[in-house]
Amino acid sequence: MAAPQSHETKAMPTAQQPDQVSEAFGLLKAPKLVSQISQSENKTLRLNALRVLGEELRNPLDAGGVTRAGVTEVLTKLLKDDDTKTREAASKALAALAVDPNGRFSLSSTAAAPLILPSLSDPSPIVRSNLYDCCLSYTAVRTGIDEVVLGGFVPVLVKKATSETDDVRHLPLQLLYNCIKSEVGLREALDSNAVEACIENLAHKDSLVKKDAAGTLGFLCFADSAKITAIQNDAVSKLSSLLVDPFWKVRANAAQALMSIIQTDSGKKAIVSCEGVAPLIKLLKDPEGLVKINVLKTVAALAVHPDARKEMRESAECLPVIHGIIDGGDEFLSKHALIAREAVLWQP
Amino acid sequence: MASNAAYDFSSAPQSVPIKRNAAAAKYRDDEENMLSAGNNIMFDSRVVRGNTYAAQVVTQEQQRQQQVYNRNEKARQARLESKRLQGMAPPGTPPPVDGRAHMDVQTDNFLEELTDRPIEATIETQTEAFLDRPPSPLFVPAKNGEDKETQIESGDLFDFDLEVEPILDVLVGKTLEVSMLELMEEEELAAIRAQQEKFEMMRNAELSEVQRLEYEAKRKFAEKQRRKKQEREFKEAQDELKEKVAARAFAKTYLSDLHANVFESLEETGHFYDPVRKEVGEVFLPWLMGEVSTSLTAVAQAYAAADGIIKASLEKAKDIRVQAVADYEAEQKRIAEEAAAKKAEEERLAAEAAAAAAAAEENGENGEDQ
Repeated sequence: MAAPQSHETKAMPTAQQPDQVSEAFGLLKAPKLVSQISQSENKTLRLNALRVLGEELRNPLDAGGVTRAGVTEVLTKLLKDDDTKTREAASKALAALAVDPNGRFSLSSTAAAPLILPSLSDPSPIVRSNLYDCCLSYTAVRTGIDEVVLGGFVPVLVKKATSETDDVRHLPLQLLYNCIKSEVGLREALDSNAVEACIENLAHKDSLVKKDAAGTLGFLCFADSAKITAIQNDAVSKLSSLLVDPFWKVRANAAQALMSIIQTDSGKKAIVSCEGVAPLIKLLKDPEGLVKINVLKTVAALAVHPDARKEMRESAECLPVIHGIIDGGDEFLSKHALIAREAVLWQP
Repeated sequence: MASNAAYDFSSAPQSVPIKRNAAAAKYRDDEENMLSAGNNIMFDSRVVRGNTYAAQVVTQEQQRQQQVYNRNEKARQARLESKRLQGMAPPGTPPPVDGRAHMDVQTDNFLEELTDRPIEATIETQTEAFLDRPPSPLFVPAKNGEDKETQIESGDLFDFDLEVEPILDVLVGKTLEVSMLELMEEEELAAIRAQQEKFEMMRNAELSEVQRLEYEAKRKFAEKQRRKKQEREFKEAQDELKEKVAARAFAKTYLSDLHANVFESLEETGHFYDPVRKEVGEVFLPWLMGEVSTSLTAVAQAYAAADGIIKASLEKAKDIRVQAVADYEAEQKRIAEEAAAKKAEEERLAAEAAAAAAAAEENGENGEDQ
């Protein structure tokens, strides 16, 4: 008879730690997780549950389940918690929630935008960053934009654009860009001096801030009143100086902003007076296509000014480069290069 | 109470108690023969239930319960006994009459002072706790039969390493798949965002083109309006010029004979004259005429003066004559008048005298009457 050596008895499994989050099976998974998040007795358990929620929300099926279990209301309530880590985890979960369509629907149905707004002034930059990400994902759709604008975000964002800390300052500018896609949002932004705020950020040391400031300014300046305000606040010279920035997105957005502003005669005069034509011509050789398209549109608009047109004609680089773009393979660029050439070669 | 029997009684069997009621003691009623719920054998705890072939195991819990029950029963009996004894206590001392009080008095032969308490010492003792009678050992029948054994060798049931492999494959595969899906989703989201940004830039470029065309249209419209205005002003100026030219031509034509006509009319009105002729006509001849007229006037005046003198003298003569006649007549008249006046005076005086006389007569009559 062989001795029972290959088997061993095992001790009883140790009891689960009270802070450990274990997944429930089936339909109870989401309600259990939400109940662990909403309880306030064990804060460590709540924190762990929030972290688990952030991971679970990456799965669309789970995202639908937790939203049906009412996680949105719980998360918005936790944004006001005294514990910083809880707020950070809740805001991160909200950011993950807003990426999912079910989560966006839940945010819309629970009118979460006005509840999130006060937390944009949270002392923790991580919380603010996560909430900005949440709102950015939420405003990727039209309903989100309307909800955020109705929630009174625009004046706050304009204020934050100049008062926010450097590491997250680009986020309110990005969010403002989304908000002004709505007419109401655009009107509120212009009334709250958004143009001045964007111009102030054009000289920031962070490239992301400059990029988003220029991008938002360019979109704002599709409105005529914003063009006038921008010209009066010397935006043209600041944007011209950004045309040589090492980051290509900054150059592209600066060119786009100039493209919007110089549609008016005063804008054209401003750029000619601050000698912005030469940097524009040099930027025609930029390797990035998006930079080129914005520069081509700017050139086409600026060529109406006689002095600018003369400078472009006399430049050794302008017309040859434009011809090169026309003959290039990109149909979109070629079309706009043709327009620019016609504008430069126009004669009265 | 622990029993060494196979079973125990919940209530020990007793003899039938002697009932005071003789009729009830001797005879039982017919109802007592009937089974009631209290005497139902199915509910009688004295009736052993279960297998009667095997040993009835009385558990320690049942034994403890039985002991507790017995203890409680004894305590209840003791309480009843003490109550009964209390009921039979001797009567106490009657209360003292009014004004008197009972005193404890020693009636012993040898008196002792009771003021001091006797020396007392407190000693405690505790009996051993009631030790439970240990339970009776379980009856284990003697072993009989043959020993047999078995052993599951490794590999008899299943090979763990072989069986766990597909499970691990599934677990690892699912984990990897989910991770891959998550990564792909992140990449897809990033690609979507990049595409969205690119689309927005291209859309902004198109919007800018639309704005450029709008502003171009506005400029062209403004230019067109300016040119139309300029043309209108030019046309107005042209019309005005034409009118001026026409007016000038007409005026020129109209005024071409003006000089001649003017001079002619001036000449007719006498603005152009021969000075000598004029002087002769305006100075000399009037003077001459004046002189002639003066002299003729003087002659005429002389003649008139002469005529006047003559006439005057004739007149004067006439007048003198007339005057004289008049004087004469006047004198005559005066004389007549004087005569008349005198006559009249006289008549008056006569009348007055008559009147006075009459009056005097009257007065005299009146005086008499009075």
